[in-house]
Amino acid sequence: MVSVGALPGASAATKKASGSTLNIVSFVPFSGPDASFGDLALSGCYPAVYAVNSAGGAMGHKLACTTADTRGDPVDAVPAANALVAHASNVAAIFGPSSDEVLSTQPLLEKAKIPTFLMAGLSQYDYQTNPYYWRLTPADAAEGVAMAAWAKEHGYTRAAAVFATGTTSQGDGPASINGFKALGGKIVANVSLTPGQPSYNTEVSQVVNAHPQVIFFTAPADTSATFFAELHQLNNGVVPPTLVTEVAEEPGWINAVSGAIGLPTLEKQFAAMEAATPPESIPGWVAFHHALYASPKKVPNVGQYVDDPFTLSYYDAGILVALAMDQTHSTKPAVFNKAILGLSTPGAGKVVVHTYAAGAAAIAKGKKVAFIGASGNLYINKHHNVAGAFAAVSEGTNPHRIALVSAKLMAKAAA
Amino acid sequence: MNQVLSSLGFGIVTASILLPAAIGFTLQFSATNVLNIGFGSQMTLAAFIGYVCTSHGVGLWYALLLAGVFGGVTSLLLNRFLLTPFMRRGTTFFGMIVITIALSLVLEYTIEAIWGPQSVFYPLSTGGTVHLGSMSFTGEQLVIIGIGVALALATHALLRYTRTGKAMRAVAGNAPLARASGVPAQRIVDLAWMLSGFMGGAAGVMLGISLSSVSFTMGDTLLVEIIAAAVLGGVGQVYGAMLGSVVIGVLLEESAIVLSGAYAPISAFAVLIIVLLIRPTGLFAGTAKAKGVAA
Amino acid sequence: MSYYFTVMAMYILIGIIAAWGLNLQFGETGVLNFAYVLFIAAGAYTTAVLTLGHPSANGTQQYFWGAHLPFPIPWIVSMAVGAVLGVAVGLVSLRRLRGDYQAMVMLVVSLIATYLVSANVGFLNGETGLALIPQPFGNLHLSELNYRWFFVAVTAVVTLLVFEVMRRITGSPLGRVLRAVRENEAAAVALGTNVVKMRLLTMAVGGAVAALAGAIEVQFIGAWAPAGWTYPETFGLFAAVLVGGRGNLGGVALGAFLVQGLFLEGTVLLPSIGNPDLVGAVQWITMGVMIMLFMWFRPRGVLPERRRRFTTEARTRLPLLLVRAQRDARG
Repeated sequence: MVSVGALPGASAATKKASGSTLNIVSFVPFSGPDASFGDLALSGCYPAVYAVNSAGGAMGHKLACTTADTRGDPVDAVPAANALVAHASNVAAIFGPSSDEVLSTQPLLEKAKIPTFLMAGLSQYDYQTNPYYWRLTPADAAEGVAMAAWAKEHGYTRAAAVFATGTTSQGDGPASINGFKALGGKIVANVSLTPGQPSYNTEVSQVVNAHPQVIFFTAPADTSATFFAELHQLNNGVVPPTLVTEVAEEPGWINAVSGAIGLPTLEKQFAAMEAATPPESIPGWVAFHHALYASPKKVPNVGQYVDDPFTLSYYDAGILVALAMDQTHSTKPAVFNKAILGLSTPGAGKVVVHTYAAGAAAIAKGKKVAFIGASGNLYINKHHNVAGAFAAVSEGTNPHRIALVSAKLMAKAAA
Repeated sequence: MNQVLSSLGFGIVTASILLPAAIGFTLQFSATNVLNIGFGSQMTLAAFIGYVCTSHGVGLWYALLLAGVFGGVTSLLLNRFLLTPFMRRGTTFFGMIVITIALSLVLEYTIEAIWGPQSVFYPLSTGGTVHLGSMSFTGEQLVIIGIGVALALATHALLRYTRTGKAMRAVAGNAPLARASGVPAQRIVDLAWMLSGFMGGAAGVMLGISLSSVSFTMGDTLLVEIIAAAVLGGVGQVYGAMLGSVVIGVLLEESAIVLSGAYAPISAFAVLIIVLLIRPTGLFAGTAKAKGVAA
Repeated sequence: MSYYFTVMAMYILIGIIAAWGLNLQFGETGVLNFAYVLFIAAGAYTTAVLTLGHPSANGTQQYFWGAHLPFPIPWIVSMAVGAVLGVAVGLVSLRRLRGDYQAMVMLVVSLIATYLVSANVGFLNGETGLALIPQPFGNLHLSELNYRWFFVAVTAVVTLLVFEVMRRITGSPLGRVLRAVRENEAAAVALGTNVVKMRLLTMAVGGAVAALAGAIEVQFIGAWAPAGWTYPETFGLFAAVLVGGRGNLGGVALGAFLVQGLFLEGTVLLPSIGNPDLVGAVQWITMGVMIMLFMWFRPRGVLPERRRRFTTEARTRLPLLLVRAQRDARG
């Protein structure tokens, strides 16, 4: 066995071998309109930390999940980023930031040189080159493309595009419209909603008069509730099939819209496009699921996250970070960050593991390891992005997958 | 043409919500010379009280009444115990505006602290719609129109035909003189605030019905629309507020036909500015000039 | 921790500059500019566009024009834009309108501007806003932390310059005219003052100062979006001016320190106990209550305006002029 003391990074590790806790900071909104992002990040952090700590920690250190509220405001997030960076010495990884604050905090976080797992779908990061930035979930524009592909697959040729002005819609909206047109479809109404108005009746009647077969939609919870209530009324109780995005899977959104048009209509007529998660039978998911419920710390209503692509990817990220520390024998991000890519990619001579415990044990025996976790094989590309498959998921309190979206059509629509 | 008419119908609904709100806002100004930026939050609070009622099984319209009463009482108390003491201390007109801004912060975030950031909703019927030509209304929308118009007519009747109303107009025109003539100014002011709080509360519930959701920020944008309606008609002019509500309400919907997205509310506000460029005191001039605020 | 102090220092200095601009408009001249944050935003966007370079070079951000101008040109251009915008908004709202109407119209203008920017993605990148805005001073071969302290130092110098300018204006005959317009417009008119011109002048100067604050802020933070300049932000600055003491430069600075610094930013330092939404809500409630308390116990501000001494001549002539002016106004 190689003497631990001989490796350069090890001296830093032995200095901290007093077992100081290393933190994974969830740097996302915990308050404001996007407050649900906070729990989303934590939902993956808690099971990962539980799994790592139950197997003895990473390099002898326990992990913990901490939070830093960005308030969803690009300007307010800057002092929060500052505070984070100031205490960076025991931060192992950052979960976040979200689209709300990723751009304004980029200069700061870049300097911190900590593995950062983005929750931001902005197209800016599709080809990014910062070695510390990782995005294990697809970009916003991909959701729009998925909408177009799904609509085409179901034989729809007339679609209405209804998007509220806002950050996420700037990605989904144009992608869905252009994608649908590229697939030969027709956009019969293109309506933009301004949040905060007392009524959208005129916009609704424009949509109704255009007789769309399907609606592409993204808007915040309150705006959506008002729009669909009015659509329901003006269209004689009928809501056309509507495709929505990840945003619409937040409990606040489901709550607001089901209050407006009733849960049955929501479940029947709506489908959300989200990154496809692998079947629940894979061993990586099984381990995740166990950790999710066994962890002493849980987010409220933990059950809604069992198949959430963000939750799964953050769980995987936590495990990968811990394995990277073990493999490089260092808790310094500058040292272990580069090991993450290799640990997620199967290859010749690598033992495939599905749990942290198995991975740590294999590394201790000097083996090379590839971790395939709750998200299945991530296929992280050289820009640290993933371009996974998409699926349509039903809306409502008990979401289930309807079907995968045709990857071929998605590729054609994105072209 | 169909679209224009149907949007007119929608505009009437919005106007019916703005009517009591703008009248209430204007009453507060005319009685006490306070531009109450906290009015939107007061409406929101009353809307949540309405929700508390409906979630305990109280009927929707009865809940609206209760919310109105709650709004009236809190409005009265706020004026008596918060605003009047500041005014007695000689706080300037602008200082009072800052106080009402602080009030709106306290109210709005207390609502969030109690009920959380998510929205709640009233139990609404999913009944059919009534068609009047190209316009279509739901049952609730017709009641909202009815309530809005009724409140406006009641205000008119109060101001024109009752002694109390005449006293209110006297206090609005010249408070010291009114007091000197024996008008019980304090009681009149109390009444004005109670009425305005009642109307604001009712408008809050009506807004929650129209939006199909009640959330702690729902008063924010509406406040600017209320102010636009009140200023368009002439600050402190109750009849002006009525006219302003109709104009703004209808404009918000009609402009959405040709202008997409945000340009609809922008055009409604732009009309306000254009009207003020032509008639700087708003559509109704009237005796409010005597207020003598920096002009 | 030092990083954090640079942020606090910058936010306070920027808040002070912005508050002084508002003080000139509102504290000295009595113009109730409820659109004030719009001028800060104009300055920020101008500097952003002038330092980001051409849009195509910047990936997916959309905005119009774009240039790569060196410091301090963007800041100067921002000030010019602020001044011009100030005059434009002034022309629309200040013409023949009464004080409260002016205020409401400017509030509406502020809202219209927010909508326009959010809806028009090609203009200033809509709701997402602009980001990756470069630092102003180029490569100084300093460490990250020292660079930020340098930025703080430059801003402190700018703050002192603004203070000097404000002090001279308020101490000069022009300052007296502005205060006359504030206190008794009819008398000022009787004394031959072109009141509209004075108000437009303060809109221009105040607008330029606001734009400067915005330019500094945007280059420090590196990003700017509509969520950061909604109309309630103006209210925060009004609170700073009134709590600190309108008409008193030191007071206003103190007010900015209290409201912008302590109430708003200092709360980030508090540990997050319990539900984060609750914490945020409590912070705002606290700010509202604090403002009310300060207005109650110190109605003229923590540092009230100094009473200025009049010359003997003014002491005798002024009352006569005032009486005559009021008689004319009534008649």
